Amino acid sequence: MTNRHILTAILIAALIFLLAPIVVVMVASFNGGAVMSFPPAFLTTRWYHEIKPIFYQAIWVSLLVATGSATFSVLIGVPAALALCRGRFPGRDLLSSLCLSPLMVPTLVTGVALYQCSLVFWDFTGITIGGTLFGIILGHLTFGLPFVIRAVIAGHARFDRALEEAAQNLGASPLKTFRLITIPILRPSIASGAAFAFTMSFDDVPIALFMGGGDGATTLPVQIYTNVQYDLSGDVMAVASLVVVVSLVVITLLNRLAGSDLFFGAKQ
Amino acid sequence: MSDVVLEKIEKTYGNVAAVRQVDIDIRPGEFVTLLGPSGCGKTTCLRMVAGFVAPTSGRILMGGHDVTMLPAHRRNAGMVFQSYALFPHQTVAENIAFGLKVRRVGRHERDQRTAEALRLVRLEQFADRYPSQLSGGQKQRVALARAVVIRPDVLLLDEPLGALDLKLREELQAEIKRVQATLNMTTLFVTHDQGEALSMSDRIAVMRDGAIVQVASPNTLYERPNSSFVANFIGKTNLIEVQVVAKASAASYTVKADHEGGAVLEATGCYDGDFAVGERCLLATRPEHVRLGTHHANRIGGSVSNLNYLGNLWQVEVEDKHGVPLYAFVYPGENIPTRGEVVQMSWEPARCFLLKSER
Repeated sequence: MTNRHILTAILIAALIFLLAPIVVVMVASFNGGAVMSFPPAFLTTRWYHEIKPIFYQAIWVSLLVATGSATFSVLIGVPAALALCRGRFPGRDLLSSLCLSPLMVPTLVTGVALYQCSLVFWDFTGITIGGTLFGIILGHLTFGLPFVIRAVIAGHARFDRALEEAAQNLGASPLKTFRLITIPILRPSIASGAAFAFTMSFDDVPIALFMGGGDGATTLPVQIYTNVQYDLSGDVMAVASLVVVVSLVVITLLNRLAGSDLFFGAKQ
Repeated sequence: MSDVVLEKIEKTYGNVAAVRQVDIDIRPGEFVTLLGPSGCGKTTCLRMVAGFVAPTSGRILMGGHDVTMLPAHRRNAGMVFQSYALFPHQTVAENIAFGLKVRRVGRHERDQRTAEALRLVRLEQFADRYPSQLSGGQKQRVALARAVVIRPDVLLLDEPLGALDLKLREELQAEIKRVQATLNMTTLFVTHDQGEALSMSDRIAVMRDGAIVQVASPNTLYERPNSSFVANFIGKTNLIEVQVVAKASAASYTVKADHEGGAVLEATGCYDGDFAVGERCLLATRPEHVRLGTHHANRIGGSVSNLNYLGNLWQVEVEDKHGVPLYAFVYPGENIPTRGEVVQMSWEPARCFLLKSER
């Protein structure tokens, strides 16, 4: 066996490892027999008709939350990253590592902590954050922001400041320079940070569990989690399969639009 | 075209003076070079004209207007950077049109002037390429087109050839000079390469430690440097430590070498003030004026310590026991000495001059 064969074997094994669970879920969603039987007794599309309205509601909530947390991560993260890259102030390195540190704390811990904070905040102000969409978005910023900041700092390392000087030299005001030069050049980094923030938010259970809840603020992962605890019916598999298909479509579209480097770092 | 004036420009960082008392007056259409070793303040001067660095004191005038306090984007200066600084997300044409776009020049005129600039640097067929698809030389030509298309009051060149190899550098030198002359562009050029400075400039300002040492035409600078620093920085110069023994006139001296067997030499000309009898100073002469043999009045002996073949000539290094090495050029067809050979060097008194010793 040559090296090439070994590599191919490893690649196939990795693909099976990654894809097998997804395939099992998708097959199970068409299973007419008992939910966890494999291979399926007979095929049916019944589960897709029987998806409960709360799941559609939850998908909507998840999309809103993921979009919101990705957006706020970019709006706050990009200026923050630029300040961390360019600013000359005491404690810059400390602040830089502080900004990335939430990634090292288990999200469950963050979730509990945020829940406590929201209670304290309610005590003092009477304003409810816990159990709202905004609460979940705020919670998801704890990992969304670090992802965007990290991506932009990495992209900025290859940024030639002379480009901004050239733009200003040619008559562009600092604001125009930022809009026409800085942002477009950093766009791949920003997009990849935002994509990660979105995905992580769409994926998250612990924080959404503590900060969300109730009718208007239950995300899809939380809804699925709640359901499989009590009742492992086929419609959960159908919902999961739908999400997989939609994700594939979205990722393919993003790759087309932003280039395949979106998830693998910025091109130069 | 406008003139650019730097008036008593100073720049200090903390206690360190990067630029001190710089006065330059660039006439309309003139090509002026700031030349000096790295860290001499030449780039800081250029960046102050561009508006990227604020002078600590002094004034900068463009076309008679005081622009000292104006931000970079409000000055009408076109700059070419050593790193090209082409916008990677824009095509060649978009790069060139950028300055016109932010100046709100109408679409029609913009396209026309962009095409004109592309033609000027002979890159018409590259209009739709991206910078990453160009060679270094092409990139710098795009950068040049981008800088001149806005019709700047002054063209600023920050070591634009520094990143290119020798052959390209010579091509680009000619290209820049041609574009500059065609547009009659007032130009300030920064380089540490004396060859570039000599071949491109109308005038050169030699800088050292933040101050201008001498401003003159390339020819004057080479023939009549006003200090041993300039003499050494521009081309190669033989500097011999001497003492004045007699003075016939303000430009005619008899001197005695400290080493070199105490040779008595004649010097006509000095561009660095007056010299008194008994004063220690330096006698300077260019290697191309020094011949092997005893043809001329000024003679010094020594042994050949090195032979350097440069293709079109040999550079012969001759050393006396105590003195510094002196250089003479030997041309093809002449007798080529061998290493260790004892030789005489001679040159005309009219081909050497006195300089103050470095203090």
